[in-house]
Amino acid sequence: MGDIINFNNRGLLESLASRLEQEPERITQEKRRGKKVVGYFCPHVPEELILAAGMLPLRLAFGGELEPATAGEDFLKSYSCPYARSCLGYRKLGNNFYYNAVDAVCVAYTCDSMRRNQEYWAKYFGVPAFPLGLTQTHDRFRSKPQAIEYFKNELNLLQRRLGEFSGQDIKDGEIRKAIALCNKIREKLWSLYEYPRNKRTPIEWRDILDITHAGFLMERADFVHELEKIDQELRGKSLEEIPLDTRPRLMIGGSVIGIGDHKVLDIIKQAGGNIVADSTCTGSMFSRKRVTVFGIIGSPIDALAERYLYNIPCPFMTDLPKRLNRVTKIARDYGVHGLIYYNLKYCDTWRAEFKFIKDTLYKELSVPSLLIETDYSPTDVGTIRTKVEAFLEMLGGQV
Amino acid sequence: MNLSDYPGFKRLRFDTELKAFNGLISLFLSSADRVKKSGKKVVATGPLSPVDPIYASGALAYDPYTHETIVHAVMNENLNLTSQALDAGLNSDFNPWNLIMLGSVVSGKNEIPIDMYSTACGCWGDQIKKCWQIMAEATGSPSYFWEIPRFDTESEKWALGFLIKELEQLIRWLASQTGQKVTNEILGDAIRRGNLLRQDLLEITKWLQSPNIPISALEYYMTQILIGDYAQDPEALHNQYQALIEELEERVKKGVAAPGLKSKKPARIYLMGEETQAFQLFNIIEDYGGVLVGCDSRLSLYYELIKEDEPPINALAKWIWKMPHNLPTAERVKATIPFIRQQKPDAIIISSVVGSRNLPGAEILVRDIIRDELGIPILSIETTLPLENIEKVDYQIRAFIEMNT
Repeated sequence: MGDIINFNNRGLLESLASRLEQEPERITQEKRRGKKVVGYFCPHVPEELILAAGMLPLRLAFGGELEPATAGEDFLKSYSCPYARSCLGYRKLGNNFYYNAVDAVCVAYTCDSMRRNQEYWAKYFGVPAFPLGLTQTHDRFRSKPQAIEYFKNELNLLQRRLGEFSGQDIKDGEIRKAIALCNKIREKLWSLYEYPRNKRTPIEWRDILDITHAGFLMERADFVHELEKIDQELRGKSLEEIPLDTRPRLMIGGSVIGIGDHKVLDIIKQAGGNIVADSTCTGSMFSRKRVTVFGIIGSPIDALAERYLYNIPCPFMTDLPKRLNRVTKIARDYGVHGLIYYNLKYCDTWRAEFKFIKDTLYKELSVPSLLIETDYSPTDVGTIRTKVEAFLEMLGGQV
Repeated sequence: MNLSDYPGFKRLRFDTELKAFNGLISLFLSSADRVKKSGKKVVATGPLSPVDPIYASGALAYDPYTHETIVHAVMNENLNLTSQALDAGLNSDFNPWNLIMLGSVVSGKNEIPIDMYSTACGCWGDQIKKCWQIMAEATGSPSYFWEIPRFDTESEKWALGFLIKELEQLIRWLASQTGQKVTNEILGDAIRRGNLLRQDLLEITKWLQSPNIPISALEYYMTQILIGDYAQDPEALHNQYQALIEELEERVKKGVAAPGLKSKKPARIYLMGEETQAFQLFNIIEDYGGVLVGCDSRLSLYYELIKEDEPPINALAKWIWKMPHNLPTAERVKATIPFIRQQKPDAIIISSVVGSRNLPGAEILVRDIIRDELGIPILSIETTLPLENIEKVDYQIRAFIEMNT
């Protein structure tokens, strides 16, 4: 089926790439042995629960292809987000192994379009679809204690349902093990995302994004092993020997960047831009913040609730100040010269925040922003290229 | 007041003999004066957000989504406000109701001055809460969101616990803004006044079951959508509704149908889905021999009364939990079907608004469930701003009614 991820840095990531190529065969074998596969779309779903139930988690986050987005119009209108349509379209087309492999999906109740996946996978694909409710109006000050109580109840319900589906009770001990594994992944990934802070970096943000995406599809213990290998190799490099990168330093934020959604990333690279940081949910935000279980008596469900509810809020949630603070902090920490705001057409929640983010970054850090509104069609490549080149030229005077 | 003074209304056919309807429109258009005289604070609230707590706090509820759009886009055909909405941060592919509303508020052309923004966030309407954030920020006004999250049918206990706490916090916030303490008695009173309106609308809707339907489609639609915020005066609105009910009763006694109906045996059409700015649609249904027997754009808010024999916050929480638009799609449609059935429709029209991601996203499921449960023909239509797309809608409805009569 071709390369799932077209790794740029094949040298460093050879082992990971080879490992990823074997995943479809491995998953097929596991399914033959009776193991179930559970997919999910949003990072608000704790995959620890899926792991603790003895099932294989897959984050179904493919994007960038026109055909699945069009196929999804059988379910969602053409004026809904192409990513949400793709989540349905891939399954409908049946030519993406991972979407076919899942025995069930967990769907977090996030934005208007993504929520539909829960009802449609169940009704039209006959795949059990477990919903996970999320509050939208909780804030970083914890002014609504009922929000976390609500979410804990939802997690308990999901735990029960996953347990019934897998045929085994999900015990606290198994959840703790899964938390430890996922925390390890987060730590390793986060340490990778730290590298591009430096202008002499042994690994580029784009590679780290590819690694993150690979991790959505791989057996988690194997992924940790691969991350450790990459980490070891990078530590062995001397930063002084790496040439100073003088390209304009960019941050990319906004709508989800799916696996395979490279149109804008390629344009930026070809135009001479260097993405060093992001605030996207398939990028660094996925690995931010550990799950902290307090001692041997701390409840793992409480710990999951705390982490998954109070991570960086998705823009369907109303805590805009927290998102603004986060974007500003990243831009400051990474010495960003400009923000590329990637907005999928009909992605309302991110689109409506662009002006806030643009104004805040300019006011706080004099960092300008460029809005790129697009979908999965290749017809606007020329227009986007012109905009990006002009933006980089403008930044060139400030770099 | 002459409805044809408004360019948008000139294109529409109104039932000029229905005096109480004129009174309703006057009430709607005189809101600004009433608000000024009252001296009370105004809370902008979303179209499906329950307003009883707002009135209990001594403030007035105001639904700019409906009011601003009807005045500027539908009545005055001023669509230029959309450009102000784009400057404020929306995109041209947003729901046109939001574009007009936001444009009017950020440009200061809103009909009623707004003191604060507070709306419910539910399993619907991302655009609404984003607009509320932008409007509050643009005007430097306080804002507060409360929510009605997803609940399973098996989660009643914690659903109600959550909603009660949300409502308590909402009421505390409102009270802090108005300086008026809200007791159980005061909230109970607000609920009672709201129940009168809910009862009024249920009575008016019942007339649509009659063989000679006494109210035309356009008048019924406007009666339903104009008053989500209780027109800033629940008592005046109740009086107007009562006058309307009396007139309709009189017509029924005399066996007189609404003058707009063209056919002696009209196709009984039930309209589901999102409220449309294309008001001509309602004349079109009648022009081709149909009659509107129901419309559930906002009816969700009025299916049931809030119980008055329980502690008011508990009763309000239970009512909110059961409101169809707060349920997942399949459950929502199934909850609505008994109400649809009692209106005895021959066919259903599902209305989507281009640019909305909420109900249009659920349309296929709604259609399939309706087909399974009711087995009657369904037509899906899409509308945008007034006058746009109306020819296509005209052909679609004509063909649909002809096929089903």
